[in-house]
Amino acid sequence: MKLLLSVLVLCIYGSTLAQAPLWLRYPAISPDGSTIAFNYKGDIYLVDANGGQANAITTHQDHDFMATWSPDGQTIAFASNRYGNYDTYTMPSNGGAAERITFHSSGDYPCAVENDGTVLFTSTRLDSYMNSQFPSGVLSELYAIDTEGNLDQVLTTPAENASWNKDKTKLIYHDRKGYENQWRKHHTSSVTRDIWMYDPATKEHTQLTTFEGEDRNPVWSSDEQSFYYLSEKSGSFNIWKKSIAGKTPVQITFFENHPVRFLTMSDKGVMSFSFDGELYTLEEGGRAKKLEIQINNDDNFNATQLVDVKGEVSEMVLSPNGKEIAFVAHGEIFVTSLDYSDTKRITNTPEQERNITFSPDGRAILFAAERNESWNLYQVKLTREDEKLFYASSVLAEEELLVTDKETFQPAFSPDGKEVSFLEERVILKVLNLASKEVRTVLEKKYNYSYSDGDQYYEWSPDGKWFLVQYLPFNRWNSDVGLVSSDGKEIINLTESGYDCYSPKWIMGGEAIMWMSGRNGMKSHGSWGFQDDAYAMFLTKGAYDTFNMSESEAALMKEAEKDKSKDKGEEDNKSKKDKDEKEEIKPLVFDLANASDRKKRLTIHSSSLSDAIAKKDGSKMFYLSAFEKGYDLWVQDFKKQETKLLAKLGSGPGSIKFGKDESSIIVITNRSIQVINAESGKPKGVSYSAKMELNQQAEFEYIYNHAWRQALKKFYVEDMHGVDWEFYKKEYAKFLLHINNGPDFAEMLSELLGELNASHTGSGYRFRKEGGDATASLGFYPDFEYDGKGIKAIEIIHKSPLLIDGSNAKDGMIITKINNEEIQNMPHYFQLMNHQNGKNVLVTFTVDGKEYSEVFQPFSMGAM
Amino acid sequence: MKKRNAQVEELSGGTIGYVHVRGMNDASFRQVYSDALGKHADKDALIVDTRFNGGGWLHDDLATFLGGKMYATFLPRGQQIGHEPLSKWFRPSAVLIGEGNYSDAHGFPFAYRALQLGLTIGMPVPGTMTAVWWETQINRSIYFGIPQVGVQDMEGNLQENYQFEPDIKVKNEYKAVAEGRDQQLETAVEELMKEK
Repeated sequence: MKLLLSVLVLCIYGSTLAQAPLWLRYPAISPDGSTIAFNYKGDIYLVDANGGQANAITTHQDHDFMATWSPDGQTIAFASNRYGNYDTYTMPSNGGAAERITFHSSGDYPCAVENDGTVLFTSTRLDSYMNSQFPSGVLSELYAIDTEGNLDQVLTTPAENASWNKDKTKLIYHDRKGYENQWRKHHTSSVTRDIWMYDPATKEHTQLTTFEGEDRNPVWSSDEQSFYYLSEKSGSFNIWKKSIAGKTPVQITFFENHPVRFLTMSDKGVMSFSFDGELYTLEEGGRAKKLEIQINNDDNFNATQLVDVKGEVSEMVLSPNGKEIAFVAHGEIFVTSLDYSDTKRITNTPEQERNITFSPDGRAILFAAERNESWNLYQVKLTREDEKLFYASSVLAEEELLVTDKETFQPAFSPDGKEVSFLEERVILKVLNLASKEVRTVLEKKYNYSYSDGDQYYEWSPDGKWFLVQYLPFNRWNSDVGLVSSDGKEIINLTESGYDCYSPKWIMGGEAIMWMSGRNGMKSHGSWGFQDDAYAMFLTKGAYDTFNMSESEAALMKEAEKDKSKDKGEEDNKSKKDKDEKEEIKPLVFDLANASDRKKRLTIHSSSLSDAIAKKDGSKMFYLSAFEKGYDLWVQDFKKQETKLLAKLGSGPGSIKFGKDESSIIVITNRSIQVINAESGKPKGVSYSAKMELNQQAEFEYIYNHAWRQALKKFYVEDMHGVDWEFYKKEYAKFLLHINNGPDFAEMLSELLGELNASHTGSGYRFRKEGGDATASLGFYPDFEYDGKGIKAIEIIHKSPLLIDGSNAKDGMIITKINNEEIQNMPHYFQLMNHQNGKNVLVTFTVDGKEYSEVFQPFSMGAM
Repeated sequence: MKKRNAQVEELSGGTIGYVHVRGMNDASFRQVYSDALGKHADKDALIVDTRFNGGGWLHDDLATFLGGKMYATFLPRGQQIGHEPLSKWFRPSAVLIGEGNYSDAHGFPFAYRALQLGLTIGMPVPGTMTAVWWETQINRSIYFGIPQVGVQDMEGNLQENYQFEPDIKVKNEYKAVAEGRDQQLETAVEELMKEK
């Protein structure tokens, strides 16, 4: 047995070493059929068309893909995002330096190279001035750029995967008619692609395929009498062939369960394509041959990296002693001192942790973590009696609190610390008794729908007898604030409003509540947007009276209370010690019969309100509100009837909490923490740090599993459209080891989600590169027919910066210089316009043979 | 936009107005409201162009706005100065749609038809009226979408993958588009002129 085991282990180890590379995409067979260029881990590789050892020809850290061969096989054109967006590059096919040939900050993707080296590429820049279509970001134009840099707009209407026949009299392409993720599968609708042929002589487009699903990726047959393409006509993407003149297409391959992607063909008719992450070749009439490929490269980056996630804070909570705050950044928990710069990382996992809260005694942090295929509840505790602070602690102990196959998150300790409430399957409010381990339901599923994680609100009452919840009491997608007894037996709708009432909080020791609502604010047409206000309801008459007291009345009362406690002082002294150790929790007694008459609008003005908190005595409210540029911290003094801007933050929305003794406000905006003095509004620096070891591979795996399960739990119908979702999870998971970059990961996830055949699926990767290109525009349609010096503006757009008062610019002008530099060609012009958005640019141009030099301020492309 | 406007003006002899709904959002609604009840206030009919609108949440507001019914006039001393409803379009309208309508831009023609407000012209709209959550991941560069809230019509059809067929199907041919023609718009003008 022992022997067998060790042999097995050896085999597994051995197979890892020789593991065949997967997620091989974008294959392109060379015209002579000898070599295949393809993509692996963000680089372009070449391999013999019969398989074998593959070698990378690009090594750049950024994403290189979409190789396409020149007809003579000497050059490879490809796309790379080296300057912040995809541009087209060319390089010798036997290796060497890549030359950048497009310079516009739109995405430029090559689809073919012509005999003279001209590269055809698609880009979404600007339609022809004649085009009647409203400019749309999804409808690209087709361009051709020759080796001299001369640019031509071949088609103003979308033509992807385009290629000319040999004598350049016909262009074959597939269309694009609208949005929809390109990796979505199995759909039949008006937006699915069709194959077309364009005749430049007549400017006519002829539709070659009419199947109601996807027909794409056309490739000319050697005799140009027919074409091969990829179609989902059989239910899954396969290669089909159709004669240009004929009607009935013929199916060539019969793959199932996965799409055939990226079809190309050599001059002699050898096809190459990718299926299930591997490469194949096929000669018509023969069998598809899977290529055995070896890649023996070292990685070009470290598997784990220490990264700073200080600017990725998503939540924070103050410890009961007020000396430290716990926060979550990039899905990890940290605790930092409020007085010193000491920060301790509490968790170190590829998975996500969130929903942190301290136990009432401050010795435990409760949280939810997504581990072992579901969200579960955990706590991490101080272990040494003498250690009282997490940030300065040595060894911590993590323990499971509730680990089930159900999603459980958003936990909170009861005020006495004996119970933990949480949400099960996103909306069911439950309570776990820590001693008995019994779990009871407080609020059933029917009372809420969670659109996005984090949109549910509930809070224990200070006496632990009630929950304040945001819930849906009626069959109307609009929430009210409810009071639910902690045994779940009683539910009282406090707000009963047709206006959304949300984010409820206890204030004034539980004798009053506050929430937000759009009742008084300006409403948006659609999109559910509105300005909010904060409102309060007083659950006791006493709280209402206290709240309404003027400044002087409140001062008098304070005096009276002081006297009272002085009198009582002596007799209480004895019991004081006990009291301190175990603060008594007084049960709350509500007077709900008239509570709806004791409602108050707390903000005196409606605004974009991000968060609001009130002091324990109800004398002041602090709120994050946007009037001008961004959100600022405001304070409302209810005693002085004063509204004041406390601190100008000018940030995005966020959340606020009180610091120790309510003397400061801890703010998270723009994913960073700052502390503001509650009186002066002055910022107090918190020098926290947040560094984590990021293992990108492990994190991708986590995100993959998370996405798969989110779709399972939240897809709009429970039957997942009849898709075997477990099967596809396994099928795509095997690629994770072979993905080392965001674009590849997003594409793989899109392919997985695309199996659901639904709208709004797919993944994306927001690539940002510091100093990335941004081509500014002078707002005119260039004349591609013009081949003189400079650039001719055939029509100036009515919002163009050229049309300032006193300018001599007009339709037909020829722009010759930018900032005194002579324009060589259009790509050069785009280079000269890089990062010129909003700057003063000297433009030299001629109108009717007369030369002018004038200063304009170009705008960004999006401004049109 | 300006070109389309001028074209409708010319084709209809100034009797039909044109509004473009860029996104299903507040700003677009305000533009539509301003144009329809502003420069087109006295026009006999309105063309509402929703092509390549990527969605948002506006279907009910827009349908309600276009579904006004006139029931009174304001008449100080015999001078007609306005009608009720003052803030809705109550004359005929037609909606331009196409393959590029997505999400709530499918929801709007769906609502427009459900409330029987007028003709839809153009190409079929893929069934994409499902509310989505685009969830950003802990690596904040990565996001993905989950279609979550299905919309069901009164006959029990969920709108997802339930293609919306226009009342009058017209394709804008590529050649015509490149030459500046808009056949769908031309058809809409023709149809609304017929109704007069």
